[in-house]
Amino acid sequence: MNLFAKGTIKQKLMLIIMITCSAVLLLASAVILAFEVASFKETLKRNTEVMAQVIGANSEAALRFKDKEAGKEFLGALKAEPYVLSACLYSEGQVLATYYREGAPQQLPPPPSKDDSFSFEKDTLNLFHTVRYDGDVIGTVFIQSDLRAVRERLKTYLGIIAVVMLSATVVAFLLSLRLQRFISAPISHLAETANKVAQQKNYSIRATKVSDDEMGQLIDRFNEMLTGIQERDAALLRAQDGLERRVDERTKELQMEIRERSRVENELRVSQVKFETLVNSIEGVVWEADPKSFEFKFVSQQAEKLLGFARNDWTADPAFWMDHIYTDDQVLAHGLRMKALQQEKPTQIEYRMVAADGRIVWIREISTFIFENGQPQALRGVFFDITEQKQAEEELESLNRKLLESSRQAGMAEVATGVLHNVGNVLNSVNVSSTLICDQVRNSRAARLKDVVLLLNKNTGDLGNFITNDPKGKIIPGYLTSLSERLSAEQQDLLKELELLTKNVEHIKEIVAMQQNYARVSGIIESLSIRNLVEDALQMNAAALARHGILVIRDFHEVPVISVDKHKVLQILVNLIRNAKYAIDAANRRDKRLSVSIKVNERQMIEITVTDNGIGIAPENLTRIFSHGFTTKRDGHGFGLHSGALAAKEMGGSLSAFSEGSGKGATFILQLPLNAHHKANVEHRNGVKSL
Amino acid sequence: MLVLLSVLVRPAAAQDAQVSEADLKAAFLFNFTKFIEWPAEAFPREDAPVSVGVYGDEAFTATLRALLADKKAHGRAFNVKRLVNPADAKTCQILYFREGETRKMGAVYDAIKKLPILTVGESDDFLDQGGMFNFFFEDKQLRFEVNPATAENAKLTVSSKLLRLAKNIRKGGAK
Repeated sequence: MNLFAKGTIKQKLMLIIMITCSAVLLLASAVILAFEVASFKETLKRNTEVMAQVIGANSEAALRFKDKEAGKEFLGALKAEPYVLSACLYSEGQVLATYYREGAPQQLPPPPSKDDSFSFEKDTLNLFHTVRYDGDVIGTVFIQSDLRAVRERLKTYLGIIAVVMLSATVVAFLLSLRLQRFISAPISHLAETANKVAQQKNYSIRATKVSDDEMGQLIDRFNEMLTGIQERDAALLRAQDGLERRVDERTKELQMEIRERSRVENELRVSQVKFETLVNSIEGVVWEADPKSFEFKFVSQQAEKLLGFARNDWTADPAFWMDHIYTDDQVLAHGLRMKALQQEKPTQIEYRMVAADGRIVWIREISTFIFENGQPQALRGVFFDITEQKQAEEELESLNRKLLESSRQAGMAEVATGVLHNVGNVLNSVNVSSTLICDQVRNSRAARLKDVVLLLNKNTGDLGNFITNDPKGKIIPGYLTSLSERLSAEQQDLLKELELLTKNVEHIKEIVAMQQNYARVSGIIESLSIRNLVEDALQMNAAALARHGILVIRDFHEVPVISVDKHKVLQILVNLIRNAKYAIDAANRRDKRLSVSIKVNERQMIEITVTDNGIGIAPENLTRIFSHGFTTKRDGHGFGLHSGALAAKEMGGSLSAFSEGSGKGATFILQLPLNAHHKANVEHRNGVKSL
Repeated sequence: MLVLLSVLVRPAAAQDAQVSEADLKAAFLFNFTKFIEWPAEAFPREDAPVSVGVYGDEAFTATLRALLADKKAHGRAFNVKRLVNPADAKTCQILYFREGETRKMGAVYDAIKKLPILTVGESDDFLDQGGMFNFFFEDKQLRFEVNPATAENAKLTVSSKLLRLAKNIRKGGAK
């Protein structure tokens, strides 16, 4: 069977055919041979038997009469049979006659012990035939036939068989060579196809079906299988693609996740470090304690600084907290904590503790009980050293007292400054006026008149001639005319300026009088017309406005009479107008306008707006302009708007400013309540009185 | 069987040595009956024995009787009797003529020549007297001669096997 382990199907098929053919042929030959031999032997035996019977029958009489000659004569007939080697006639156990073929050995077997019998010896057939006659055994015929003929025949047969086998094998080989293709060709084809498929990994190759037998079915199934593989491959490829894509995506996601995680970890580390640093650098002790015994489980670095005890001391002693509370505060602190525990909410308590060096430290504790499943698990909190704060509070209190004192004084100073400010403003005008007059007088053409007089005095003798003929004298009349004209103009100017000066002085007088008036009547709420008040304020600045050529636009609506502190309102308005004038002047533009309007606004308040087209207010200054000491004027002291806003507030109104920016002008709005009754009035009045 | 053997062996041994002439002739006679067939009408009954008549001495008759005592031929037993008168010949199926009685053969010949009776003699002129089988010695071997025509006339069928053993076959009929 090892023969079939190797080799191709073709070889095996041929081998099978050859073996089958040979086996069949051999078997047939063997059977035929055996049959031939058997039948030959049988024939020989039968012939021998017949011979024996013939001889027996012929020899009956000879046997009866024991006629040896006759016996011999009968046996002599066997000469015609070449296969008979020898023969013998026995009569009553005695040899009656014998026959030997020429050259045959003259040997006889012993007399027969039985009746008819035969035996095939190596080369002979020994046959005994009992001769009976009329019921009596009368003798025995013995014939020995030559079996060598059988062997001869066998040899011949074997030779024939060998030749037949050889030629049959050749024919079978040729036939199988031709016929095996019907089986092996499709198999080889299938095998080649399978090899091709396996080597090229090309599953689109198909085997060709040539027959409808099992091979055809096999090829069909094979092709179906390939189709299946192809489909599965495709599906697999798709799945693989999908998988790869998913793996890629997942990898990206994972990378991102890892990046994110490491980033988060990093952040966490950073934040932890930050947190630790924060906890340790915080000006307070972060701690955690047992919610029942209040034993510290953790205290931050600052704890050592707080009381001068090492952190270990805090956590080592279970009763550290209670033991180090200032004796008077122990009951209070414990009670507060217990109360916080019951109320289950963060609490802030303050008490004193005793430091290592014996000093008393004020502690502010902000703590929270941490609950889990309704049970307090921890108490966490922060200690702040508020000793300094406590001291500062005490200091602040005394400072406040002092401040109250000084503010009262400051209030009086403010009033005084207000008066001085107003006076100073007018004094500016006075100063300008006087300087102008001074300059004008100093540069007066009146001095030229002296030169003319000197010239005339020198020519007193011939004055008429001098004036008419002298070239110098000739121009004198003209000169004098122009000089007088000039001088009268100068006089006019001076007069005008002096009038202004007088007016200013009058104004100062008025202010002082007004101040005295206001000081006297300040705080008295009187019903008055805002319109008149605004006109008064404009009037107070009229000279300056005129001097700078500022056009004043009035937009006055009818408003009800209100009850306000006249002095305060006026002071605010004067201030606003003066500021506007200054801003317009500083802008240095050709069209100089100042708009003043009065109306009742939508909030049912009287609204007085002072709008200029001056330098405006920078946005960053817009919020600061009302603070004490802020000014943009070179010589300002930053008091006007501050006191104005303060006063407006006292009256229950407000003073606000709007500007679109530098160079865009500004609008100041004073709002006053229609029915202003402010408590502050009383206080302020008191302040003023004390001045 | 023992008897048979002794019967058979004895003549064979006698043939070589001191087997008596009578014994040999008796055995031959018995053997003749095996190769000769009688027609059915030769016997009065179905089971009638073969009657053997002997013309000769009592000794020979006794020998023959002893030999054939328990033998059968063609299913029939033998009945051996000594004959004196030629007239008794007709009642037998076999007639044996001793040498001295040969002329009786001539006497009965005409009466029995058509009857199925086997005639055996032992003189040189027995066949001439019309006998069928005649014994003689040659080289001390017992032989016999035959005249088939006379047997044929007597409606006896003689087997060719027997004839082949005959030393001399007389042509032509009796005298």
